[in-house]
Amino acid sequence: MKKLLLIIASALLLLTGCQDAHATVNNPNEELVKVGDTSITKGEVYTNLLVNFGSYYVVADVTEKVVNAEIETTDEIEKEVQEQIESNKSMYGENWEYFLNSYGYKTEEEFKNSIVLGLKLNELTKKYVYENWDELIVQYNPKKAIVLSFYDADSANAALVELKNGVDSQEVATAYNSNSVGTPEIITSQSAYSSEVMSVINTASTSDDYAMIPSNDNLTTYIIKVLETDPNNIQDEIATTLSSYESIANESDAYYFKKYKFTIYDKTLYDNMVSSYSNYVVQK
Amino acid sequence: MANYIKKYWFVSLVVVFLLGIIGYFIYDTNKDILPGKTVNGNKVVYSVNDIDKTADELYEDLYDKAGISIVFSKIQTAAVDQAIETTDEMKEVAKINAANVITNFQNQYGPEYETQLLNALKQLGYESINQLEDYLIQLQKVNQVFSEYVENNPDTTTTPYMEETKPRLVSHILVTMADSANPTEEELNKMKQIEEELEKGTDFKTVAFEYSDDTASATVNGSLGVVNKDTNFVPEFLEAMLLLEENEVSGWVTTTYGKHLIKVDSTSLETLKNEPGFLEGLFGYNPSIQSLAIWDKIEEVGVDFKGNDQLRTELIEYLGIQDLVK
Repeated sequence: MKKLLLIIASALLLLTGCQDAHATVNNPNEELVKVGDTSITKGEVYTNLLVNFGSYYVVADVTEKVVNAEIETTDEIEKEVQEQIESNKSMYGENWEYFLNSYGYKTEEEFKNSIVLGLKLNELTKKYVYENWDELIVQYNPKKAIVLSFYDADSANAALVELKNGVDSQEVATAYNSNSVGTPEIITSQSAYSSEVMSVINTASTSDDYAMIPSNDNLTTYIIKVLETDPNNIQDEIATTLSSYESIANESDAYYFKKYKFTIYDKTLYDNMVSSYSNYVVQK
Repeated sequence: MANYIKKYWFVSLVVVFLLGIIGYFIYDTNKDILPGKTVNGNKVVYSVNDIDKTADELYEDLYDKAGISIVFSKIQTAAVDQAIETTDEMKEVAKINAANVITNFQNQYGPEYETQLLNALKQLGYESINQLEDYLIQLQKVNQVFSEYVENNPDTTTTPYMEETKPRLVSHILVTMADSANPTEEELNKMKQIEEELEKGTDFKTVAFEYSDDTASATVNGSLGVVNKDTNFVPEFLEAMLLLEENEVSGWVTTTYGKHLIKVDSTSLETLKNEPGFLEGLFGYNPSIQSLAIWDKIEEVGVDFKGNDQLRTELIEYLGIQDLVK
């Protein structure tokens, strides 16, 4: 009976002993400054820093580690970075240092590193697209097509004649005041085209000529030509388009944060991340 | 044991049932608890790819980026709190302002207003919405520090400001015109009416209230508040205003808005310093005054950097007064 009571008492103790973890600095009571009779301690300063800047810094830190582990700094990236720096220097001239300081960069090297990180992050999202190719192709159903649109039916008719005669679609778009520029583009289930346009794009083949259709409200006339339906023939263009979608960028970030086992062990940081950067909280 | 259970089977059943309830309760209570991690005696904040970041390492990184601003904020709060007593008037003003702040947050964020307000307060170093009034009292105390410093240091604050920027309390009466160079008959008649009212002795304020087409200033008897040579007014207005002595009224001044009669109500520091906008103008003219005021108060209360001269230097540089203090 005594043993039984001991077991029950221990179980009750377990209830009271468990609480969320807070990772504190060693020596939190270390006095940094004393003002009058008020001490300002390392622990207080750390708590303020964590609340104000912690989650932003952690996301940036982990992103940098993940990106550098997954993506090499290629010659192409180096070249792009140099071009961006030269372009900015030329734009800001004498105010270059002021520009750097105003954006929080202490040195040009810091600015360069941020550009490298940004470019590599784009590549990482593309890599995610390639790694999840089959699933994303089914979800987004990408095609390559040209779409022109006109409010004036006469312009649309004249444009169609030109297009069928082999005139460049961009030239026709400009000449006949199309609402779109007429360049070939990757169109997916996320594209902001009407259902009539999407219906043509999803059913047409590459051998079909330019098709002209009115909008449901008859206010707009569309001219559509599908250029490519096999996603494997336009992989890079599809990857570039899909990686620009915020939803895919978010999926990619969460995917890699999980792959690299990002785990939070501090309740304050955890709550702040859930509030401001929930996409990056990948632990169960 | 078996005999015991057999003999007291009902009690045993109840105990097992109770243990089951307790066990489930423990599991349910703890399942959402965030576990911690300690490595070599150091608390870990987060890990990526099995590489741990301890709290001390994170502190060093964050301090490098923004530590000095946090330290300054805490020093300022501590100094001001100890130097300036909290009065009943401050509490009353804080209570009213707190209600306004909450209303603004409610209008902006709807049902989420409490979360947003709490986030804003946390960034200022407070921990709960109940501390909103504390923050608003602190603001009043800081303003009092600024006012007292200006009062006690006229040679480096108000004197050069008055001499160089010539601030004055100004009123005007505006007759709006589509084409100032070619006033219509109606516009000319209005100008004449205004002149007649002033000639027969009607107070400038009353005439401004009654006739001025600048409806915003007309409601306050034509007052434009404190204006100095750097105020963002059209140059013709500023030029005419600066030529006037106290209580003088200009002739009709033409600007793109129409024609104005300008009156300088006061050039006296004693009057101006109590007007809204005076201190803002002073601080705009000499931004270091606020930093010097706070530093002065910190030194008055007494500050011990625990032998860390580097921290003192960093704070002075952060305040931008490195050339002004020893």
